[in-house]
Amino acid sequence: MKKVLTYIFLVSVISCGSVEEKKVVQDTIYPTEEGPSDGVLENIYYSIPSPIETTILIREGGLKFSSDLLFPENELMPFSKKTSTALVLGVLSTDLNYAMVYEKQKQTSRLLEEVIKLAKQINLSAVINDKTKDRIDNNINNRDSMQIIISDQFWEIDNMLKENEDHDLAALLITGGWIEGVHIACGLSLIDTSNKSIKDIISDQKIVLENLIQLNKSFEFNDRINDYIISPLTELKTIFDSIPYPIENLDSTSIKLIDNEYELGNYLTFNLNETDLNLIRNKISSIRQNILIQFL
Amino acid sequence: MRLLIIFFSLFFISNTNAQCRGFAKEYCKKILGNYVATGESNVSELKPGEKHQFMATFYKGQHYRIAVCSDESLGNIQFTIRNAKRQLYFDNHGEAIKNFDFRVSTTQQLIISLIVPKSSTNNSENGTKEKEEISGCVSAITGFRL
Repeated sequence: MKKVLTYIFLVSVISCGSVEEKKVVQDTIYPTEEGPSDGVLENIYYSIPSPIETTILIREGGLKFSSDLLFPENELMPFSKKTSTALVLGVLSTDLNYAMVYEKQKQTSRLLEEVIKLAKQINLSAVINDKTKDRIDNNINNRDSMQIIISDQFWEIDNMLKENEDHDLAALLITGGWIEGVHIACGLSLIDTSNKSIKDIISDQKIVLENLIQLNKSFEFNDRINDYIISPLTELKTIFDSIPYPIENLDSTSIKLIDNEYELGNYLTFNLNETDLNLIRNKISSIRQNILIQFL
Repeated sequence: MRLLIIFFSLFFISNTNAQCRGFAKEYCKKILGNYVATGESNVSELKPGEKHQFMATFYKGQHYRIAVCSDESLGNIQFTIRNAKRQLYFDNHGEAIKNFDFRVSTTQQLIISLIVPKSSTNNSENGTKEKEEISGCVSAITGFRL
């Protein structure tokens, strides 16, 4: 019966043409799998968008490249702890994606060398190495190919860290990358103050940060990581928490079929005011400063 | 004696994890087709009746594909997509649908669940018991379109 209902639902959506909207309160058709929800999902993993997604959104938002926002060029000494290496590798990976999507060849080349150097320190040479650099160099004038190569490499890095049971390093890599992405977005929001899309990208991080905090809760990090990264991120979350969720239609789901592709969800956007934006900007700047002072 | 038990337990754990080494890359990534992997993979070793689920954020404006794969010994796995309030968007009902293409109207979290079926199709004498002892790898990868 459940299956029949699903097909009726799908067929009705498909048969209604390409843009007509159907709103369905799914819970009346399908009971949730779990019992009464207390808001806690057991045994759930948290997945964070990759830096390349954020940097592509920044480019598509019509924002310009600013090399001043990149992590300062440093002589990256071998770190004493793998956790520090993973964190900084995440930061530089976002910078690499940012430079690459804007086709900044000089910065792309320099950052790629630094990323390869750090990757070696946490035994990731098998997936990102000089051959990667050769592939990038051979496609330096083809942005799409470079994006595919670099995205692929980061998927391989995450995959290898998890296969090696280095889940904590994978989480820190993602955390470093996320911090740098928000830093870039906040910096750009100061350069192009009238750009609405950059504010949307920043306010959307409210959702991502919730997942990031949950992801990091799974691990017992050393004091330095806790004091200078995890605790400040929790403080940042309290700032994001003050941005209210839009309340309209939250109890219904919406599915539209447009050009043979489903569009899920309702049209809701967060309203990020200047005060909150400034608080977010200051906090992320301070976290990034922590990385520069405490981890290099 | 206690040390021996710990040693063998650790050996067993690392061995079972090793079973899924390379699984996502070999079997799941190709289902993404021309979508680019978003940077994270989810792989788990499951038994019949067990579930692997993850919560991911999807950005407004991007086009996504979720690709799912599993060991053949587990049969077709059920694959669902729910929003953060756990309202259902998609359910393959354990049929051989391995991917779902979509975009989101606004940035949001979705819960992706992979559920190994409980029912046994094994015809051997101890079919049900054997089926219960089977375990295999399941994986889901998210990709976006450039």
